[in-house]
Amino acid sequence: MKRIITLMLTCLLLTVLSGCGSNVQESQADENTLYFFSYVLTDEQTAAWEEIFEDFEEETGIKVEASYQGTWSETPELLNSMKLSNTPVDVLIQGVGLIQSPLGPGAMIKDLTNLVDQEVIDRYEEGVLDSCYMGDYLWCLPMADGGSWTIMYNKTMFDELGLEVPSTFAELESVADTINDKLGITPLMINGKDTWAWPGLYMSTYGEATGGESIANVESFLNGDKTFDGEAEIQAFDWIADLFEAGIMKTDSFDTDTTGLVASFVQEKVAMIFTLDSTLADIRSANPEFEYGVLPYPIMDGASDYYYGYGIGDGSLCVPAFIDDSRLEMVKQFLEFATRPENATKVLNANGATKFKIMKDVENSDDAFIQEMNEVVTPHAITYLDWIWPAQINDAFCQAIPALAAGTIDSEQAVQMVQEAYETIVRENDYIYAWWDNFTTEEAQMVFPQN
Amino acid sequence: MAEVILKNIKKVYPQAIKKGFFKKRNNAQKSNTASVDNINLEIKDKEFIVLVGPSGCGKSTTLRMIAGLETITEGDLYIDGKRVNDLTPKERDIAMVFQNYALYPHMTVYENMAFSMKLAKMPKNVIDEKVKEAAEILDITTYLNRKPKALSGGQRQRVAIGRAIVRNPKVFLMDEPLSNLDAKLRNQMRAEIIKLRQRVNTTFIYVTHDQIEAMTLGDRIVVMKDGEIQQIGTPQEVFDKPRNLFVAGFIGMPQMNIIPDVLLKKKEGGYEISIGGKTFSLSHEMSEQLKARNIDDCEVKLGIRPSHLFLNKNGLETKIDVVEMMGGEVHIHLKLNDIDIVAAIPLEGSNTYTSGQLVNLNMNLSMIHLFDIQTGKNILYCD
Amino acid sequence: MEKISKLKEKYFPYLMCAPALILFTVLIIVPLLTGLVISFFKWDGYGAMTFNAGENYLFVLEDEVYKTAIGNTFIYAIAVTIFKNIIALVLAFILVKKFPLKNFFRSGIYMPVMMSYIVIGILWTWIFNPTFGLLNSFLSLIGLDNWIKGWLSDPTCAMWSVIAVDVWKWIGYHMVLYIAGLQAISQDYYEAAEIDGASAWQKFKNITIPLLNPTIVVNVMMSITGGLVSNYDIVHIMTDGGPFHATEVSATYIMRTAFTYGNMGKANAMTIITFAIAFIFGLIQLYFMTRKESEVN
Repeated sequence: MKRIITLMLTCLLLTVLSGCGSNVQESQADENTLYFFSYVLTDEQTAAWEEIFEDFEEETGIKVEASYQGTWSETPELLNSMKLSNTPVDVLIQGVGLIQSPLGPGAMIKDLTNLVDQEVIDRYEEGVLDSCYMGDYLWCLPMADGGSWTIMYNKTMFDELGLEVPSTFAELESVADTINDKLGITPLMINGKDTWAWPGLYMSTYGEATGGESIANVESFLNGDKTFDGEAEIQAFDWIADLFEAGIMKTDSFDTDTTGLVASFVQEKVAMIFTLDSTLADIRSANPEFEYGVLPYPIMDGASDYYYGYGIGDGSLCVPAFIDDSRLEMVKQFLEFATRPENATKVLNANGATKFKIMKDVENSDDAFIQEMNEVVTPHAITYLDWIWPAQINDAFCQAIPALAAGTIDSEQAVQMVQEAYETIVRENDYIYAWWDNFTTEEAQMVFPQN
Repeated sequence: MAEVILKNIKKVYPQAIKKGFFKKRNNAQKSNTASVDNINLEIKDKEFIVLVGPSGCGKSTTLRMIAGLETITEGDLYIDGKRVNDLTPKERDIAMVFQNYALYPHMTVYENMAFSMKLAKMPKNVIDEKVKEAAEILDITTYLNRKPKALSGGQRQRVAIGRAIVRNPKVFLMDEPLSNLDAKLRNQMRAEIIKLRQRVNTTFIYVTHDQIEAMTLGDRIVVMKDGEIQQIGTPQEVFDKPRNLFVAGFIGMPQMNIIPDVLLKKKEGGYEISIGGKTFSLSHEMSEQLKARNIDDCEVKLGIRPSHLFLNKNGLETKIDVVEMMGGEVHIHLKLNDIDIVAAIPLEGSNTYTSGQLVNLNMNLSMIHLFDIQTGKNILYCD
Repeated sequence: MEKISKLKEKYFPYLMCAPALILFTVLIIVPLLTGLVISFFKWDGYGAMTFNAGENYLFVLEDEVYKTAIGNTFIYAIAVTIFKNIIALVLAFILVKKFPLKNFFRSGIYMPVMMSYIVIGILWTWIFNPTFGLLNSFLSLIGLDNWIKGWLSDPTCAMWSVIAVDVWKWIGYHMVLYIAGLQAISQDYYEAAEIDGASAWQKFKNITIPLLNPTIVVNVMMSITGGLVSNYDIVHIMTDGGPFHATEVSATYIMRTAFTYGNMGKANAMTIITFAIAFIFGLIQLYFMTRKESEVN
């Protein structure tokens, strides 16, 4: 009896195991259903999308089946497994950063240039779609608020100390001296434990060092047209080091993550923070009474204007490259439907009004702080460099800037690290910046719609 | 060359004070709270003394106090004239053989035996010589390179003894060394211990619960019960003149028969006893002894060893319950006044006994023991 | 009939082993071989795979970060093993004794074992926080201001901070094993040794250590393999290899190479190399630690 049971259990186990292996089957995509995939969104955003899906079905008779899985950074892996298992996906939510690498070069995303009519393009504000174009191709349509780096300062503290809002490095330095002398706290802090934060500083200093030409410079560096060791590159690093040498920033930045940064700021253990504007919600929920303002990035000696890294294009609609061309008509309909102002506003403003003006007929926030930020930051915004350069280059910055700040390396060594990272990916990954021009025939057939 | 003197030795395990590593897992003798009380004992140099008693009587605790493994709560312990209460086992110069041998499992036989000398930093050649000598005495030379795991029980026992003798201790302590062996090996090892004693010629203190070991090995026997000494004496003394009911019952196989409700009467010219309505006159010698102690009429318990019972016409009539054939003799179980009695009867001629048979039981009156019904003391020898 | 039962007899043992073998093959052998194959290709995880012979291995050998990571992995594994075992052994010696609140201390020390690395990593990141972390606040409270440092940001001590947390998490586990091991040593051996004239240290050296050896082997094997391969979670949560690769271990670097840098081929080559090193290291260690044991039998 025991033997029979054992035998049965073994067979059962084998069946289960072989079942796992045979997931690869014919795609079960229904002709009249659109499959929508996204990382897990907030409840409000999900509800907004569900509303759009219902209206879409009413108008076109096409049912939308949505699934939400993982975090935004897990999407490439999830998408890949859906591709391998023939799970149908027609539209997905993803940002420009991951499209630039790895989804775009991996031939996972379809070119939307011919799927989106001019009418749809015109719904967006001028320049908003810039980062959605890579090469001359359009890869996604933004459906979420933008974000930017910024310096926030404690207004109450500045008032009490009688400090003026600084606009140059010298002014910032004297503000920092006062804070150091009178309060003995760190003047300016960044969430440096999250290594991804460090390049944010470089976006500002490199913008100043190149006179606003940082994007073009990085592109020509990534194309291999120039090496990354010119004066401007070194200068941008030097200016970061200056923040530490002048006592404006201190080593406590190395240990601080986003939560710690917000906590330090709200508990008045730091006077100013260099942060993404997304921390705003945390600051407000930590202490609704707290008063803060936005500082322009200090203009360094020899620079003429200041810059902040920014980007619109997270949470964008894109289309997987591996779907059948027969489904493109339906996808095209959906893209057009979702980007109608009356529909897009539901998603864009699901979590409160947007900070940045994204679509022409969608209202953005009239919050006083946001107004201030739109005055101080938006005119000086320059696309996030980490949306352009690949992960390894970004990593080189993430390692080089804190090392520079800690005095372990100098600016010459820092640019060398970046240059070496580039050479490594060219050698090891066959890196090509203009990946859109370098698909294999097979990949190109998938990425570019054939009719 | 050492005499061991125990003066008013007392051991109390306080419930409240829990100390020492591993206490919980110690063997029964150590962990139960039966303390040892008021032990007075003088052990002469080169004497072989046996502590015997049922389990929990305090004999092992006493031995462990002598060894220094157990602190002495009260009293004084002298070895070789020196008070050793506060000395470590090492400083007392004793050796001990444990019940379960306690051979170090990770060392070879040789290493086990050499361990104490190695710790004492003795020269290698001396160690070698001593180990080989001891191995020869114990006939374990061929096993010197084996680990204890690869030895039989008897061989392990020899190693344990060897480990003790290489040290030439002043006192040789043995804690139930044969109890883990089977009967046949036990007999053999008993004889070997006698031989060993002749060779090593030192003071032995031996703990056992086995009265045969006690009788055969000891120069003197210390019978213990509930932490107190019941009797100290040569095996013969303890057997012939048990001081109380406990000793009487504990020593001797089969056990001494105890008959309660016996009346002792003083008559002219002597004493007599009546059992189950039948009277027996005591011997003149015994009567004199009793007279000397001013014993009046009283109720007593009568003790008689099975071998001092016999069957003849004048005895008490009774029925045989069970007959056990022992070879040279039979053990006959009978009922007397509802008391189970065993008689050891030598087999002579063609006598046969069967259960249910009616017999007349008689006894050798000069060999009886009379015990006080209250105190259990032997009224012939004790006050 | 008899023939069938004979067949049964012959194949039954194999059948009994089959589930374990199948699981082992599917979950260990197949991924390992797949990894070996991928390590010879250039692949970003999405697009086409191109064979590049052993080039990936060449890249790995040229990679300074990988060398740092391997070095760190060994420092981590060895340090964690030493501290876990010594502290756990000392605690076991103390907590095997009877004293008030013994069980309270035992459970207290065991508690972190049951927490996930994620929870512990976040908890300690906060304790180590330089601005309002408990550790620095405590140090300044007792007047040791010059001891205050960025525990996770100072490259000279970041690794040791992570190691301390891993040790803290696991000593309870090893302590329990050591307590069990100590309790399994019969008190008789100690008494025999005492009679033989051994001092406390000699008893420890000659009785405790040799008789505890099987437990030590198990504990050391577990902590060293744990230190070599299951260090990803805690390092990833606490420092993710930073600052400046000071806490980079091979697992974090492999994960980054595979999923951030999109270089599956090189990541797999690193995995194979790490596996080979850990495997050889484990064999050597097992050989040395059990050499005496096998001589016994």
